[in-house]
Amino acid sequence: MMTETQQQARRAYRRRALVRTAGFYLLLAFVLAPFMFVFLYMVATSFKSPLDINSGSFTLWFTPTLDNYRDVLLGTDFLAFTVNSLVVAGCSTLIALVIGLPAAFAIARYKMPRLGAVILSSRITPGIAFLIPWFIIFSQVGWIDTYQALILSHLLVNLPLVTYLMVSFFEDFPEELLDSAAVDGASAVGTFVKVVLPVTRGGIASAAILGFVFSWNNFLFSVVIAGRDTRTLPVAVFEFMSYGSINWGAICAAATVMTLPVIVLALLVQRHIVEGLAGGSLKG
Amino acid sequence: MTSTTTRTTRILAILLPAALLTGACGSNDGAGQENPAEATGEFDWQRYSGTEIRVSSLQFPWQEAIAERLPEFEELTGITVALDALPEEQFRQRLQVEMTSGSEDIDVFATSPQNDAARFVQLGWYEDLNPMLSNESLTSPDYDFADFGEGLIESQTYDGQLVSLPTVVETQIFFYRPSVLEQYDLEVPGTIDELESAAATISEDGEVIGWATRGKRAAAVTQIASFLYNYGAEFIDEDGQAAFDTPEGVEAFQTYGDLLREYGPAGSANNSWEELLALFQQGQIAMWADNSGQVASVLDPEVSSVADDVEFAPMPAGPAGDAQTFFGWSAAISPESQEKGASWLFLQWATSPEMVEELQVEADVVGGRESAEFADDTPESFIDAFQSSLARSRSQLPAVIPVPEVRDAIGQAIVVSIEGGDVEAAVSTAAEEFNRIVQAQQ
Amino acid sequence: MNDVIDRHVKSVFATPAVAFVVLMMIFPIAYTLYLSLHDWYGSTTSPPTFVGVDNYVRIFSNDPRFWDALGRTLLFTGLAVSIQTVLGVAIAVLLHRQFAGRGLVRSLMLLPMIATPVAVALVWRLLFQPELGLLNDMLMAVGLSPSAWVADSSIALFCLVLVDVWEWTSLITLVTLSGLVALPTEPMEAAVVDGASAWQRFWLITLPMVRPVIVIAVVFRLIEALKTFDPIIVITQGGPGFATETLNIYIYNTAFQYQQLGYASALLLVFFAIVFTLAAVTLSFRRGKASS
Repeated sequence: MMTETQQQARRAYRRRALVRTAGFYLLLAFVLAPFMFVFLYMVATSFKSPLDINSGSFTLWFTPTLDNYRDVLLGTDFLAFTVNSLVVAGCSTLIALVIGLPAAFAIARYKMPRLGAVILSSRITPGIAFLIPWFIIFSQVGWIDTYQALILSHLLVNLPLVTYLMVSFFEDFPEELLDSAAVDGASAVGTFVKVVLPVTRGGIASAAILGFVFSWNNFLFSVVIAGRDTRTLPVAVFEFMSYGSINWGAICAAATVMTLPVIVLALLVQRHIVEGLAGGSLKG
Repeated sequence: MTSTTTRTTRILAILLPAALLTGACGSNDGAGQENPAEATGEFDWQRYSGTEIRVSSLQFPWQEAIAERLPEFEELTGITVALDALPEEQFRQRLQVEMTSGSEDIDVFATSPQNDAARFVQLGWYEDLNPMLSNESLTSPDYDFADFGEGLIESQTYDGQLVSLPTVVETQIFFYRPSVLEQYDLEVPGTIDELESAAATISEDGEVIGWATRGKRAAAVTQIASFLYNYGAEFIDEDGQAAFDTPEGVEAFQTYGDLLREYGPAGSANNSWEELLALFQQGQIAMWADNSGQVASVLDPEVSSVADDVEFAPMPAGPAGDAQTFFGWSAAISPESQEKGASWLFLQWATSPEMVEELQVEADVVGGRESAEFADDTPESFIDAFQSSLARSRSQLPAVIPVPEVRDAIGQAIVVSIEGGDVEAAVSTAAEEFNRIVQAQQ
Repeated sequence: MNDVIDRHVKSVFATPAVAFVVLMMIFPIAYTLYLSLHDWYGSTTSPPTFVGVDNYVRIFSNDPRFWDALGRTLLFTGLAVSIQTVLGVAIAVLLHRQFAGRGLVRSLMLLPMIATPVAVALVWRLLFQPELGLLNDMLMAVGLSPSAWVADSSIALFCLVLVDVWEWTSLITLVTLSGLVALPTEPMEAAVVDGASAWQRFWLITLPMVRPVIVIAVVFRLIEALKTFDPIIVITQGGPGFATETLNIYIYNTAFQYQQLGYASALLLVFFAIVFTLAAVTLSFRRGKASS
């Protein structure tokens, strides 16, 4: 049986807890709002008519229109740009896996720190340091505005990312599995293909998605190397900011369409993104 | 344990670059089609029927008007044209990248000789048009090249090569909205001082922006030219050294910046013609100086709300003179083009007497032919202002080789002036930079 | 056959990557070194002319634009990363508790980092627009006078810092969070028993324990921030004037606008050396900390 004061104390405590929770969520909203409003602004603007955009003050109350999306999707070669982006990101990621997985395994298992350091150094090197010489070389072999040049250049982004992420997965790989495969007489390569890869497929999928996202997002290499036949999405949107009245609605529509797949993919591999972004040096 | 890797690395390090270099040197240099300059027989628009050419241009009224008329060309010649257009800055950069790469992708490209020619000639980026022009099998007897006038032809000629054909001829021009001037009981300013007091009167209300012109680094340089000349300064002296850092030059920079800061739109330092055109079309600007090529977009009622409320005048005079300035766009053929004959036909068609007049009459795109008439409904004030300016106009850019780089250097001083900084110091820094840049590239 | 492969398994695994590294990285850098000793304007007709170390002499003795760009690069990087670090850790501390919607919040925090930078930068460009942008609406809503934002030389660089902070603060937050989660609980329990205040517990126990993780993320951000390209080229192109021209942008312009491929190569190697020196210094600093 509770006394009156006990009950009062408990009620007060509950009230205080409630206030504290509410305060926390308020603070949370306050912190998150600046990060989210850019996206909100982008999506809202993408549904606005030029009149609403030019009206001079931002409002969420407007009659939505799909005109911007129609302009972007039907009025430009948006599909072609998307295909270019898909081809470049897809192929470069695939090649990055083929080269990067064995390398990561070698770094993790055979302790090849120097190889690791060299690959990491490519993440430290400013992209432009590769871009200028490669631009000249690609020019001389007539590879500007070709898929192969774009894919090779995007590998500079992808390969270190994939390798670094996979090193940490391979380091965590259970020793016993390798040993038992060795006992069964499997070759090292066979073990790698038949035992190691299947077990780490989750990690591989993450690495692949992350590589894809980074290639999809890449601008520096594409803006120089891609031409009119191979324009990827970021380059296309940048180059097609038309003159006269800049059509912000269409730009925001294009930005939304371009960002959406990346966001969906990235949310699938949330945890590893941070790892990948922070140089693969974090675990857990 | 690392010996294998080390050895592999070493071998690769030696082999791969060598292989790559061999590949790099061995490729390229396709034979291409027969030399069109040696074509024989009757002139025939259908000579290159079935070929395809790519034209690369910036987005501006000329390109829009030509794009609309491409089906006519394709019917006339049987040549397919792919016309790619990007905003000016992106276009310039893209063009340089593709030309550096020796791409065969570009057949015809837009170029502004004052900005590009000295450099592009040095880099070998223009096909000499003279041999094709003088070949009667390739050039229509009706072409009438002399109609462009000596001065204009000379501006397209470098080291005896005809590098391009003029497509658009512009002078810097003073755009204003008569309704606004009337509202404040103002005369059209004839001097920079009058301009300042008119801008002050209009801007005081804050209803419309009194005055606008370009403030963005490189873009603004063409617009400050008339100020420099009319304050008694020059871009360069006889030896090609910077000459704009005289007291007169500093005053020109000072005035240009002050006017924009006091009476210009917000964020002037980031405004090029694209941004200002949009503002003027929306009726937000009362008086505006830019190149006359904008007239097409300003007079088009579909995109301009001030099409009925705009008049034109020459640029106001300064204390030391009344000079006007010109700029121009042209079309050129890439030496790497595999379809030079077809490209030449395109150039010829786009700059033919009929087409130049048609563009001038129907689209207000002013070409360089002396014979071409204006439309009946083209505002008198425009024709007067344009023609009287052109007759006494000077170049908007200094005649040096590394134009883009010196434009950036000079433009920086303009930005400092717009933002109310130390103009004298900025101008003298710009002059030093200018001399350093020009010297480095001699 | 299998024996051969197995005996050389390391090289079999590593060769493709080594080949790639040599081909795609070391060779171009060697080529850059070669070009940096030449004058070349990308002409197909005239080859590079050898000028010795002239390009380097010019960088160090006669190129104020380089030094200005270097200063801006360091200022941008220093500011952006310090703000990110403080803000990022603070947010991590806020999020380090059980609450409903925790997973969602962490997902949302990812968005700024992974959204296509060009797309996001374009939206920021609109936000900064003096007439149309939301930022001036907000200023005026609270009674302040509108700003020219990126069109004002004196604040343009700070606007870009703001964009970088927006984009990358969550990296520090999420890294710190993962560090906080992995912390052992004993020291904290002991501290509670000893009656340490929440602030003391954070400052004296939690922070030192997560510091190694934070330092990794900060080093990583430092290196990345030095190389920032996309937002600058999209939002300001280095302007107004040269107010936001960082080294990356200066080199890009030198190469692709001015066609000075030789001089750009020399600038590139200097930039490269700066980035590597800074990376080495910060990494060794980190190692020193870790061992002490």
